Amino acid sequence: MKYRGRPVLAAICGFFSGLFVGLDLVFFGAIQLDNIAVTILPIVGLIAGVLLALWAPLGRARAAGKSNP
Amino acid sequence: MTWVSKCACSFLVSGLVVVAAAAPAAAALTGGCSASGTQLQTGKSYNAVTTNFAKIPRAGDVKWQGAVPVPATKRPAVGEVQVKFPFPVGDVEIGHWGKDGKQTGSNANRGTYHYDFPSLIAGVKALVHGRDKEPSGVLCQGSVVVQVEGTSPLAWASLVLTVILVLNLSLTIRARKVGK
Repeated sequence: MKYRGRPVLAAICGFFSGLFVGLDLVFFGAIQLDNIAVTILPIVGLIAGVLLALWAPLGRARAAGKSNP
Repeated sequence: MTWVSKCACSFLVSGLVVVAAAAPAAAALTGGCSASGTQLQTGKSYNAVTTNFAKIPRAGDVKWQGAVPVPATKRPAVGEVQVKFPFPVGDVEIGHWGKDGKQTGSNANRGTYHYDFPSLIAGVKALVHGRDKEPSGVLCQGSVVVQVEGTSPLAWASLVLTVILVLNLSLTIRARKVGK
């Protein structure tokens, strides 16, 4: 049986999660404004979102339970 | 692998990205020029030749002075001050001199400057760098990381949005059955 999340939505959420994690680090002074991480984190978030959605590590037992009542 | 160890792995990878991307320490003023300033409210003095980080109050006055190692003759000196933003924005110019063809006749200057930054940029560490190029070949370059004291209200808004987005991400990666 195959399981999957929602890759497109996860890509969008991952991109913005990465973007806002980068902004958090900048606004709280953890990294400098010109740090390349601000550019990289949204891309990492996008890729991680797609991969996690394809892997779908959460809620497998619930999904299996629904298909086999 | 439990969800706790999955989360721990995600945070470790994120941390490595941040550490690997950490910028090198900024260089101070070079080229024989001199510059210094005293923040009047805190009484702290900064020498541009040796200072590469300054944490300043959001508003205040700075008594400053600067000099270039050339004779005080009429000449077309050119320079600018820029703030460095992340790729792809790059350097943003916040001030310049001599680019409009105007000539200067002095080799030193001093004064008191009043500044009042908006609270939105509080806490942000920005790399400010500048240079002055003299026709005699003297080139002075300097940079300093400036941080305004306090925390921006945008920081809390950004933190709330981050939590919402991460929760949203966790919903989009939840398994659903596809195929057989």
